[in-house]
Amino acid sequence: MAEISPEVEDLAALIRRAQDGSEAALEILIARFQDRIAGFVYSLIGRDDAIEDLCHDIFIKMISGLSGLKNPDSFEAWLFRIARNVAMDSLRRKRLWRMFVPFEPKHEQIAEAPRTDSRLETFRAALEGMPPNQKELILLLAENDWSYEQLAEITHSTVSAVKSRLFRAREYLRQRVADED
Amino acid sequence: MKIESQYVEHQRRHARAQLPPDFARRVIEEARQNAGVAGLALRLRLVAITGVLCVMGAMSMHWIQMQYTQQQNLQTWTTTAEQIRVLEESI
Repeated sequence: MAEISPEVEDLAALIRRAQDGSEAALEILIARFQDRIAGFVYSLIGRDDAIEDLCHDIFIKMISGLSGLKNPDSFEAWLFRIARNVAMDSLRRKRLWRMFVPFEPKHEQIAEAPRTDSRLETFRAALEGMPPNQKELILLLAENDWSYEQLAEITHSTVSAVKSRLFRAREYLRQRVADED
Repeated sequence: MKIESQYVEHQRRHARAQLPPDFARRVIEEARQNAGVAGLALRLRLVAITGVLCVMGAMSMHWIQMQYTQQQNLQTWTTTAEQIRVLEESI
């Protein structure tokens, strides 16, 4: 069992303890980030039936790669990068699978989207309508106040591409939300 | 609160409900099992590589030995053939 409260321990110290092999530290680390990662994955893939499996993969990758992380300050960006990669791979596999398997309603038995108020619903519909590489930037910025450099690193892109995609995404969102109003 | 933040919070609340209460513990246990499997796989790989190297070593030794024996036989035969030729000429 973890002996230190997840809220109390400093993140850098926690990462260092986890890197030294402390399972308690790893458990606190996972518990601290699991909700944010699950929410991010859910927003990206739009299905809740795969959240647990994908989060599992993400944190297993985190554990196996943690010893190689040199700077604890970059942990959060690094973890979100893993999450983004796992979610995007899942979306890619899903698209590929759809190409080879004829569509039947039973293949898409996903949970009904949770009920939201109309503003959130408008926002959700607008997000669903934008390309994944723009959507991920909006979601990442809603998670944290990342810099353009960090966003570029997380999304395997360049700063200029991030700026341009973000500009287009914001314009699109503004347009959609204005149309709904 | 901005709409993006509200949306993220809303998604997070829904996603949180999909994870079991002991999620972190399960992940750590699986990571531990994976490490055990990876260790076993590494040991098996080492055993397999050692086995292959031993077989290749034995085959190489056998080939070198064969070449040497063949060379020796050829030399012996050359000497014998020469002796036969000299004997035939003398007769």
